[in-house]
Amino acid sequence: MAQYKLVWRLGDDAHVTLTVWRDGRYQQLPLVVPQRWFGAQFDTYRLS
Amino acid sequence: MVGATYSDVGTVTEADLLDRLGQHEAAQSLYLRVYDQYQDAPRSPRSTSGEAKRTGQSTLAIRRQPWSRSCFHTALESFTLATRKDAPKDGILVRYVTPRGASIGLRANDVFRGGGRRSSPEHGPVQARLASRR
Repeated sequence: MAQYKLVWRLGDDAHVTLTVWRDGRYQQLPLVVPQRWFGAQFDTYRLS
Repeated sequence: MVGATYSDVGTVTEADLLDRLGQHEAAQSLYLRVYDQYQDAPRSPRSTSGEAKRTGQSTLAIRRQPWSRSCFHTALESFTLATRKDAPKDGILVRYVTPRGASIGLRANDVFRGGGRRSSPEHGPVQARLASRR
């Protein structure tokens, strides 16, 4: 989680493409994130 | 597997992965490509003789072996390989989304597996990551 936050802050481009696991498959989301602020709570995910 | 590497470190990582998957010839060509560019010698006669002493094989026999295979004679290491179909084993979980996050396009329970850069046609969704390294 800390690593992700650090890498995320290395750039400031609002246009990003994220690879997410959603609805049982991988999807690429082309997003516009002004100020790189998602407005979401994150946590470390581990398959249990 | 889909991937694109643009640096010596990335190419070596890709070669390491290919070697672990048993694709020794492909791995070897990548190692040699790095060698050609960066002169990071993959094997010297001295290392061959050292390996001969250690393993009891002749230097000729060692030279006949694919180089990449001899580099990983201690067998494979554990690694995580997510494909287009496998559920992720780790990542970043979106636990809660505010209206701003929803307007951006996020959803609760999304799991980030990669990205964060401007999109490139070479970047596929397959994520290959070594979980542990020597």
